[in-house]
Amino acid sequence: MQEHTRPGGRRVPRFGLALALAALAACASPTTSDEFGWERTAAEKSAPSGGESLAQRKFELRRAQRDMVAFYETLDSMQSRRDYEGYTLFSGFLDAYMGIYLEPLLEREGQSSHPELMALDANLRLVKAQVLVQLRDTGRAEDAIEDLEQRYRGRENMLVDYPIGTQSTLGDALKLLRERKWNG
Amino acid sequence: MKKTALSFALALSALLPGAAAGPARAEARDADAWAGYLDYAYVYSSAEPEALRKRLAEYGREAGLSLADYIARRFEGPAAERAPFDEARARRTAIAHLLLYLAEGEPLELEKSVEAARQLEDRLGRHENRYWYHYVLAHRALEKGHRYDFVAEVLRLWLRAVVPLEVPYETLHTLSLSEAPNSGFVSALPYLYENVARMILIRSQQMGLDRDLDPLSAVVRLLHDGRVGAHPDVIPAEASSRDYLDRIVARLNGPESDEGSLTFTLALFEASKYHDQARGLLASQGLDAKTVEALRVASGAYEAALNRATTDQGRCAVYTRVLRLLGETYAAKQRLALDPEFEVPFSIEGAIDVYARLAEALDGGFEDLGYRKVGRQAYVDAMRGLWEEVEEASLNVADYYLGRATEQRHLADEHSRNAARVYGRYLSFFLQFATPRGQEALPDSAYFAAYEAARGFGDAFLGYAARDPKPAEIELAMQRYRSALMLFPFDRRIWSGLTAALGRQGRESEYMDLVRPVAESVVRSRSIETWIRQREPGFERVEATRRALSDSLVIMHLGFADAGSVDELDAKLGELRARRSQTEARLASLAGQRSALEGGAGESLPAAPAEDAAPATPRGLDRVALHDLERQTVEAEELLQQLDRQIGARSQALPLYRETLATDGLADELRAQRDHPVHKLLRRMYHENRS
Repeated sequence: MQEHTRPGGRRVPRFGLALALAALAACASPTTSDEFGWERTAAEKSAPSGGESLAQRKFELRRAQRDMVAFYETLDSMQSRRDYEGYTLFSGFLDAYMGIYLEPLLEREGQSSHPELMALDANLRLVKAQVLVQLRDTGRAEDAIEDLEQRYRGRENMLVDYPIGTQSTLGDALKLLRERKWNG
Repeated sequence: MKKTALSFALALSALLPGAAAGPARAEARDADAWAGYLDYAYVYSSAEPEALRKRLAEYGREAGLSLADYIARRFEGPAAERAPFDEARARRTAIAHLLLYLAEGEPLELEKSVEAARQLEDRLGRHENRYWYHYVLAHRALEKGHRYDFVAEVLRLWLRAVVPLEVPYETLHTLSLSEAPNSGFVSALPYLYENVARMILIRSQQMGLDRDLDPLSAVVRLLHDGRVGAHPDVIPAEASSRDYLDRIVARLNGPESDEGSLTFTLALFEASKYHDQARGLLASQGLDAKTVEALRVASGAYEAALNRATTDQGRCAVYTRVLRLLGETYAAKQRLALDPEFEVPFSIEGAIDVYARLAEALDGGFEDLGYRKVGRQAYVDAMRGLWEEVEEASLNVADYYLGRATEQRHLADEHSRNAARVYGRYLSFFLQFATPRGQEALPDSAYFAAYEAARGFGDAFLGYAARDPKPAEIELAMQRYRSALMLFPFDRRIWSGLTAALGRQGRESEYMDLVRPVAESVVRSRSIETWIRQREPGFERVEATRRALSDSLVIMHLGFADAGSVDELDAKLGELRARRSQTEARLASLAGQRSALEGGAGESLPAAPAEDAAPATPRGLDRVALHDLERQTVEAEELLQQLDRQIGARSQALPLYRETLATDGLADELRAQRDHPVHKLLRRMYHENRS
């Protein structure tokens, strides 16, 4: 057991903190399995959100979307300038980021049908698909598009943040995304 | 930035719990007080070396032994080597050596830090270990100049140490627990943001890493998005690098970018800082050796930025700034009458080449030049900005040469021709792009600058050269004066410049033929008419010039009179009036004499004697006298009419000419203000004439 000490302060067992954090972030953190060595239950993953935890979920989805937009802009900029070394290096980072943080965030089934989260969820999935198109990973991009189509069937008129920086209906966004997938 | 960094360090030191508090001071005397200082090193490790040295020295005093002694006592020597592996000790060893390296710049300390950090490789499940591990390795990559390793380490640090802490931190923060004593390393997150920001934006530049940083622009954008500066309760705003980050991101996303390249943005930002320093020295110390060195450094930094640019957007941004440096340097040389040896590896021609490439996309394709994200207006504005610097630098350089021509008469010909060459280049540039297609990307001030260049060209040959100009040069100067008149007819002095040029060749008589079209274009101009009718700024002076140019006598006055001769012209008008009075009096006198003669003859005289008339008698003599009186009367009447015409014309022209004197300051105003409203009028007039 490690102890954490502030200069001139008291020694505090860290395990207590870990427990407190785990309890607080049970339905918020996508990465708790890595940090504390246990998996969350399926019930925890899909538990209906409300109150502070809903606010937390919204915050996470919004931030993840903005982060993905920043990644997309960086990728796009390097491609335009034909910075292949930078592009390769950054692609590796992006792959890892999506695998470790983004996918767990999107795996929470409840948020695609939650009235207050579904638009945020769709926005995040769209920007993920756009990044995959930018990475020229057409297979995964196609999977992401199909997943969006299935997940939001019948809700194609929902307004989403796509193309990045503008808005359109989900139906139009998916059509455009598919065109971009083929056009590269 | 140094100031900010220092304040950051000082503010952070104040944040250290127990760093200077009374009760804690006694406890810090504990031999292991350093362990606490090292565990919280993320708070102060980004301070500038001098501030860091002071901080470590202070901790040393409080702990009763220096950091170096602490390392020697706890982490080195046979006892330490025999001791079983301890994760916290390994981490503190890495941190301690890193701090010494950052404070003293000793690479050996960094190597020791890396060696200790490597021992943590199978203990990276702990965020604190991960953070320091990647942070140390990133510093090592910087020290070695391994740019890809640096980028990779920062990305790993972000991915493995920063991102996993974000959600827990927000959760604690929401519950106001982020600063609770047992919040652990999670509470370090705002400092980690600061440290990463400083390492990318500042440290990398201090260590000379000037390429291939672009993947980190994502991290910079993330830091800017509600992370750095978002916790003023933890790191006060004045101690945060938020402002600096704001400026960098504004450049990264703005028109002065190189299509989003962080490497370029940092390089241009560094160059701008050197430029500001040089400018400050120029203002305070003139062109002394220190200023010249600062100018040289700034110019070198701009060259580095230009080398990093991959798009014309980036090149335009560099040239726009470096031409300002060039213009300021020449203006200072002229003002201070000093000419230190100082080469700028940039030329106005280079800027013109960039402008020409940008102009090719006016009909489409500007996105490919780097302006895709910022839009067409930003692209056009960037071109206008570059143009303004080209015009400013050209005029400053030419002015400098004219100044030298005055000071060094033995080199006057060379200097005046250099000035003419610079003016000529601007005029060619102007003629190439001041077209219906290209005019959109010209600033309003471009037209007045063209006037200045045209006039300066004429002056260079006729006013500054030491030897007499050749006929061809005079002819060229004359043409330029006439062009200057077309561009800006509101400067009274240019009219007399033209007559002086004509006078050199004995061709004064051609003056009216040359200037009449100019005067007519002003009188008939729809742009001027609209300007006056709508009472736009300065319309009174414009109207005065237009009125004056509608009168050919005023045009003659403009060419051949000067401002000082107005009183003389007034006096001459007085003389004419006096002569008229005299002539009138004479006519009255002649009429009286005639009446007297006619009264003596008793009859009116025939106009001419009959052919068979007798020879002259005394009565015949009267007739001769009468004829003479009649001749004098006719002459006096003709003189009176001529005087009336002259008086009438001059009475009308002189007030108009006097009005033109009131426009004298307009040129100076336009020269001083690029945004003076009359620049717009000149633009309209030019294109109206060309159409």
